[in-house]
Amino acid sequence: MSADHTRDPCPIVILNDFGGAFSMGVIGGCVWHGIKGFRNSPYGERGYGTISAIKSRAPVVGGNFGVWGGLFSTFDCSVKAIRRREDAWNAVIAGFFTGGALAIRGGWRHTRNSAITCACLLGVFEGVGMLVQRFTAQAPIAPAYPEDVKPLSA
Amino acid sequence: MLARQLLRSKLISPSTLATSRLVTRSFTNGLIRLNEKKDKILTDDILAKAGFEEDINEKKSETETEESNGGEKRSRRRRNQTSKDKQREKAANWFYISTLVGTVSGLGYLSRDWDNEEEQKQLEASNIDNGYTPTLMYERMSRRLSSLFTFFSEPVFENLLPPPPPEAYRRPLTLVLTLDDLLIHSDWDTKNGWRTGKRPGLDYFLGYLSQYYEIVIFGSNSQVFSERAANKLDPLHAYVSYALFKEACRYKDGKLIKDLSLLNRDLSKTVIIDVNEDSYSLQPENAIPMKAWDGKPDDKLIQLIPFLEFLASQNFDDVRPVLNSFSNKENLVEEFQEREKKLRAEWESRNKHLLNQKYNAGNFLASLLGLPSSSFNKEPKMPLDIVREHGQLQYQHFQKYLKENAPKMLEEEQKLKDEFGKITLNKMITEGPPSAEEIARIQSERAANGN
Repeated sequence: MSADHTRDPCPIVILNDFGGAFSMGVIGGCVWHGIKGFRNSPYGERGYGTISAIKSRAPVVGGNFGVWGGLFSTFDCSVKAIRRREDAWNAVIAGFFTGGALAIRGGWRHTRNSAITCACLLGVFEGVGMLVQRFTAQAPIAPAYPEDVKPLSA
Repeated sequence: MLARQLLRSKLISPSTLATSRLVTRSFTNGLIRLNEKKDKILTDDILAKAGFEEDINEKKSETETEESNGGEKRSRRRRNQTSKDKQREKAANWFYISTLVGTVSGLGYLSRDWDNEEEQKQLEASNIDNGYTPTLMYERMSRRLSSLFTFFSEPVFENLLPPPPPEAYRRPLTLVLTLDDLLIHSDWDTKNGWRTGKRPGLDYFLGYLSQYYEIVIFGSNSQVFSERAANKLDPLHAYVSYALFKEACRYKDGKLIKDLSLLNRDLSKTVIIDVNEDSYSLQPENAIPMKAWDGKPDDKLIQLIPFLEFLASQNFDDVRPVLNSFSNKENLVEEFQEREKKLRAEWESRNKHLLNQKYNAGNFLASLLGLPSSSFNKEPKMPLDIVREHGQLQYQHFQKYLKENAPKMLEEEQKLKDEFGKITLNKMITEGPPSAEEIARIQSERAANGN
């Protein structure tokens, strides 16, 4: 069983990740396309331009994010199930397959390049995460023992 | 050319092609220059962007040059590439070349001579000499390369625990316990999400054995995930001396290994109880294997206590032979019960005179005063029982002490947290978090001032 109790165990976490990524994309898309729509509309139509840009574009961004998140999570779970190990390589392998799967319609060259790029990116993420974990890990410290006092127990 | 361009851009219809060709032919040089200019305005790039890459003219030329050779085909394909494509291809080629050069030179750098003997020692490569023969270079390179990756798989700390406490505070043995599926178990269901439960008898197990053992929790999960659970098992920090987590494990070949030799404790005085045999694969002779707890009520922890108590109270020079005297360590509890039974029988047969002693001074005095005979005359006891009784008494005393002082201890801890927990981000970045030694120093200074 996974140790991270902020996340559900494997098959269900795919749904969570899909939803999480989708909402992230929608929120980010709203900001991005809201500003874009605002800037690209003529004076007097800016409010309407913003709204229409958000309405037409933000769900698409959300969908893109959601597909990425859902696919990644699916691959991550599959890799975990097959390897039966929990380490950083899971994410890298899952990233490789995700990048490849999303680019598969662009031909095999594109698929390959995209898979490698995605794997590298996730490798960097995982590496940075592990570094942070290593540097924030605190060594246990000895309690301060009073010198002349008898111990309470034993 | 002009005609083609015009056609491509659909500025003119194919029907006017013939006339425009005538016009082109009759133009003078200067006009041709004009045509070139036109060329530049409608570059392939723009056309490609507008979606005119494959147009009628192409198809026409294809039918015209049906029997043309491959060379011409290739040239057409090259024409299909926009200038942007070419630029991109060039950049990609540069990237590939620089990657290759970088890799080769990096590997070459890794195969250099040893910087110093220290490095050689650190990589356990004393048999690999300096010098530039292919095998030696390869060996050095592979050692250095693997050391780059072992950085992540080695334990974070060199010594996992601080040195043993001063003599007065020292327990006879050190007990290393894994956390998940030995002491606690987490379950997930759709209704409640994650829930974590303590194993039955856990509090007694920790409380009782903490008088014999320096208890170290050594979890198999990250500190981030397990620290709170570990703290909750022992909120007063009375039982568990230290807690270590995955960061202190070595990761090798997909196995999480808990290397006891890094614990900073005498291996002959250390016992590890774990549910995963990979964990103690370096020191299997120190281990008591247990099956992973599935969350259902059981009394496995309590059943372990007599043996662990026996182990700690007998002052063995080395616990390993004792542990390995059991034929099957999985059934250690049952086997120990058997042994204890035998021992008891033997002791009883050897001390019959004590057990059968009915008439002694104590009994006589008690009968004179009309009291039950046990009040003056303690029943003779087997040493193991005496140890047990003593341990239980001490456990009760300690519990009483904890109960009385718990609010005070919690309050003190909270005070400490309030004082040292607050730290500005600026200070955190510039100076790093306050080290434990620092906090201890400040505390001791304050204590000295207070007294």
